[in-house]
Amino acid sequence: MIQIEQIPSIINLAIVMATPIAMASIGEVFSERSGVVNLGVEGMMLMGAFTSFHTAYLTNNLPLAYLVAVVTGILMALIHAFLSITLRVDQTISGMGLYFLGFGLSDFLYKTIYGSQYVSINKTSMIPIPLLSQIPVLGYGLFTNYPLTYFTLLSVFLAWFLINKTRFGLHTRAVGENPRVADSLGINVSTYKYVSVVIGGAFAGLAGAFLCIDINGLFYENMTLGMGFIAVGLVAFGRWSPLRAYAGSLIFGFTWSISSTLQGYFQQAGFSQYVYALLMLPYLAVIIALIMMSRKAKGPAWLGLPYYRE
Amino acid sequence: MGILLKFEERRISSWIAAISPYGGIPLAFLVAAVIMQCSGIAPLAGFTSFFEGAVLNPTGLAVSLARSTAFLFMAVGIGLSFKANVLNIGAEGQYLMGAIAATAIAMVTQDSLPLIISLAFCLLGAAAIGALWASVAGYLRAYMGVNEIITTVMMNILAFKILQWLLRGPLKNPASQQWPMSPPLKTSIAELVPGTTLNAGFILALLISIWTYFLLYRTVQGYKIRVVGSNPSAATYGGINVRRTMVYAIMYSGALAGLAGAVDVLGVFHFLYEGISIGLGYTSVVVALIGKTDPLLIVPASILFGITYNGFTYMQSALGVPYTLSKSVEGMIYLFILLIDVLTRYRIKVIVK
Repeated sequence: MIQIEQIPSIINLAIVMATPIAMASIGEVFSERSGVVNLGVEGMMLMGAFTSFHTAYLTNNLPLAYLVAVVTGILMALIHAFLSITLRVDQTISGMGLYFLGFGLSDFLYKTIYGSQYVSINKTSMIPIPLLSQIPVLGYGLFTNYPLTYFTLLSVFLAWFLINKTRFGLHTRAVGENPRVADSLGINVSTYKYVSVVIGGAFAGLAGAFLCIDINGLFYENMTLGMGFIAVGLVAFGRWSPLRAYAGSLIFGFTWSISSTLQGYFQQAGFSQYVYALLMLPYLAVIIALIMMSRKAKGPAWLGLPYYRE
Repeated sequence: MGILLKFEERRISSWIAAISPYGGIPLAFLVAAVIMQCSGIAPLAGFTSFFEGAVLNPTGLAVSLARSTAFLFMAVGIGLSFKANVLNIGAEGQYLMGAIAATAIAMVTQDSLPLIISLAFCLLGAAAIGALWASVAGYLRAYMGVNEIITTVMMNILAFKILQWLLRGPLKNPASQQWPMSPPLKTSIAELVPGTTLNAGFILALLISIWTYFLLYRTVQGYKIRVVGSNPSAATYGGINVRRTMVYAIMYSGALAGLAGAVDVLGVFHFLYEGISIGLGYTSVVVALIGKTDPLLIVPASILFGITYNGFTYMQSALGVPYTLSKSVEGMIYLFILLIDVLTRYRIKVIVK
């Protein structure tokens, strides 16, 4: 089965697979802390993935591709913000619309421009961190990774700091917990909600770009594989804390990594049909994780509710 | 200086409320035309082939109705679960599980039992498996507070993996080396229009939507569902078991989605393959919304979507437009409906201070 030598690469893959979910999850934490659930994360990720792919293909400029994905995510998020904050449409319904839009539009644009064949682009390469990458086992697992993985690890702490230790975070939380009081204290409720939803969109777009440019190096239909929905689920799992949401994404990352490592053994042993059962494990792990934390999960008091000024 | 939007509720007749969502369709088509123009496809030629293929000839229309059958089954169920405030996004997975169950039961019974009895077993089995699959998400939502949207999406992925696995294992057609698919099935649903895929499943779907209407508005169970959805605390005080009602609603919805899968396998394709559902379950959510989650209003909405789906297929073969254009059009229809809904229900005043 799994050999000792494989452990560094299992850790490495786990961290890589956890990254897009963690990124999207951090963004969703912001959004939900201000009281807005965005179920369209998957759609924003797909659009971010497509636009980053297209930009990378045309210009071969990867930083630009990431930037375009962030902008795409923000534009998608603004649709949700306008519908749910300004027009007070039910957030669940509006978020699902965003998902449908991203799901269909990303694939339509890809097939219109590239046809139905797979087109590869140059992937981002992993960068080892000097010294730290020399540590046995963890060196390769943790410290030889994509730039965006490091960025995500940093963002987890930054997000925590921003939400818990700054004035912006305090106001955002106030808006999510009790917009009426926040409003009476002179906090502009809509602006804070808009900014938080936009932060969510930016992270989701970037997560899509990571999935496309760093992990796959190509774009295909529905390539997010439910990761956007997992990200939303992990916000509740992590009790609206970026740190715990990241821990949740590692559950998915590790199960994914272990089951795809075992995949080869299954094929060698002649059980190739059972590989699909193996690939169900990461999703089962997420469901079990959500069930285990469900009793403790209690979000911002006004989560999902529209705010009317009287 | 600030801009404030003020919402004033206005009274609208139920007719306008029923018809207004359809306004989203021409708007979405208009945007689709712009997208087509930008990507170098003549929109006029596209929509000509769309209507000629899907509406203006009898065979095409029959195929459109056949396509709408699955939407009708699933959207009626999704609508009912929406009424109980349970958002079943899992029709996709329940459909796949129903299709798998129907295929498996047909393979076992078609040689030993009369085909009509085999068919009955297939339909019942598919409905039962669909309900069972949905009940997991329903139970987790009602009793443990786990968001049902996330679990149903996860379970859609699980169902697809199970389908991939079974098509390479027990349900594999030994004669097919290249594509994973089941052997052709003898158990089948009678055709309504000979030579097309339109089958008696369409009639069954119509009957079920009428039955669901009665269930919702004329029975105690339906009353419970509506109260649980509109006011859960009142339901609790009124002695209604809110949790059980929620699970019931999503199981009903899952049973219908399972039936949709069985009808498509036995009435349309006559075998099972990996690409049997290209997001049909997700589309049905949009259909349910256009039909205002009302079982009878969902009938015209599903027929319209059957036509849309079929029309885009014709457009694809005539002009090479990817069929996924229909998916983005769906997304846009959905968002436009939300917009229209707000604009018809409220008078919005912009106040600049």
